[in-house]
Amino acid sequence: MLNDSISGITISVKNVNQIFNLDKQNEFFALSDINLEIKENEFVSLLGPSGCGKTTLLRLISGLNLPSGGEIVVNNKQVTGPIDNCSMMFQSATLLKWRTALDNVILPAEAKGLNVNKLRNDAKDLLNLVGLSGFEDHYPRELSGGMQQRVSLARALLLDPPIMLMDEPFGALDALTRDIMGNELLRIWKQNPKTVVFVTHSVREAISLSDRVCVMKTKPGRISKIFEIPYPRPRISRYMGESYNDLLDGIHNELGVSLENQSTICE
Amino acid sequence: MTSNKSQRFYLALIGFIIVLIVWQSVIWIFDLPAFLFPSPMSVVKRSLELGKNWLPHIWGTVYGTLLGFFIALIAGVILGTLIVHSRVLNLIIMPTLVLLQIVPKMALAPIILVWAGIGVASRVSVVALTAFFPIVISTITGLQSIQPELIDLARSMKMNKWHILWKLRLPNSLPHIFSGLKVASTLSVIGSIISEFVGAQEGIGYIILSAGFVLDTALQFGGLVVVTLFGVIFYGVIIIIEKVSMPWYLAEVELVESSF
Repeated sequence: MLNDSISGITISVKNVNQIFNLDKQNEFFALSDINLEIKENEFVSLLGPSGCGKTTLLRLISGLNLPSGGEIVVNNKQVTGPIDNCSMMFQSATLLKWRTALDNVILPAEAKGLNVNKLRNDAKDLLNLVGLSGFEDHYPRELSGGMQQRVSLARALLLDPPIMLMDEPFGALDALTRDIMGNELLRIWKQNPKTVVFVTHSVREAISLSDRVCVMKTKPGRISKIFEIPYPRPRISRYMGESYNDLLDGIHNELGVSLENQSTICE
Repeated sequence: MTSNKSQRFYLALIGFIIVLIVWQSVIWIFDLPAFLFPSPMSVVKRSLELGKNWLPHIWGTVYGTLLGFFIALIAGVILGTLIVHSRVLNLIIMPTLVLLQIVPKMALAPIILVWAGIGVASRVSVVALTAFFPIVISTITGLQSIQPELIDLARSMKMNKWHILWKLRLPNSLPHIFSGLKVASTLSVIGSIISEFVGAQEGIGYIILSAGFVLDTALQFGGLVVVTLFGVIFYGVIIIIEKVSMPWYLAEVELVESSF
């Protein structure tokens, strides 16, 4: 444990299994023997097809679910329930539709019983940061999908958590908005670094955002290979040249996606 | 938008007026006996003749209906909340509740009369029993209709169970509860009238019944109009409260406006 804190390991996943019992005989390994170490302020993506267990793994890290086997340690404490100092984003914005954008952003403060009035200004600043100043009093139904996710992002930043867990937060948005939001996220993360675990099924998204990409496979759910992305951001493929293409090929091969299919994944 | 609303209002008004004209004309043309088919004019005349004497009767029905409704509201929401939170309570209470609902209130009313006597208690009981079920069911449905991801979010924020109930489930269930209240409001008025038919000393139902005994059909119709008006106002008040308490929820209100 002491070693972890010296080397700055924030999240440590050791020999984790997640087994679902379909009936007395059949066991389904949603996750099998997962080992992963995430350093402080590292941006790590979990990339893989549906059913590879990436969301399951994220939920185990967050403490929403507990593993069938193995252990997960976050900030030197074993995870036995929802972890502290962490915020989550989901594929849907999960805003409270009966509250305005501002009142949605201050929700984490209410949950902790903090002085809400003091934090209202912080909330306002955060909405400004995500580009929604002027929309504080709007209800979610008056906001587009992208705007709702921005509110969700502002909410996730309210208590300045050192860890952010994101489950395909831009998955439900159109491609253009998705790119914009990815850049927004990077901009904010650069200003104020955090440890981020980001689940996605988009290779491009994973490469442009992360320090490392964990490619996962199904049956059983496992991490098959971890790719380092040592390039500075923003990552524009034109300027990265061959090494970017090699990376793209490598990841696609690992995922088992053929070269022909890559024509649909272009810059 | 405003011109559209007043257009709708005037067109509806024209509809009602046409009905009245046809009604009056049919009576004149076919020379229908007044005691069987009172004309709109005689209904108005007879009702106005009763004048201030309406008041204790109207008050009796209104008071009984509202009190019974509020009792059903509080008991219904509380019970619905408890049932959602306890599987055991759910299995114990729900079957009995459904059974009670199947018992026709018309059959129940005379029995309640024997227990509670002629008066407010019996009327309030019938109303409460009638209004209770839709409120419980709509509360349960509302509380269960929350997005599972919201619960995940709440747990990840380390919200305790009370917070989740008070800040998430209950506000989320308001639209469902209000639709239950609207159904319950119409049933409450019916319940009150049923109770008065079975045995009462005052009330709009009492007037309708007593007027029937002396073949004063004009007054019967008058009672009918008054009780309908009460039902409409009651329903309208609930809609207004709904709009005020849920400014974020437009859909239902626009539907009602469009049907008017």
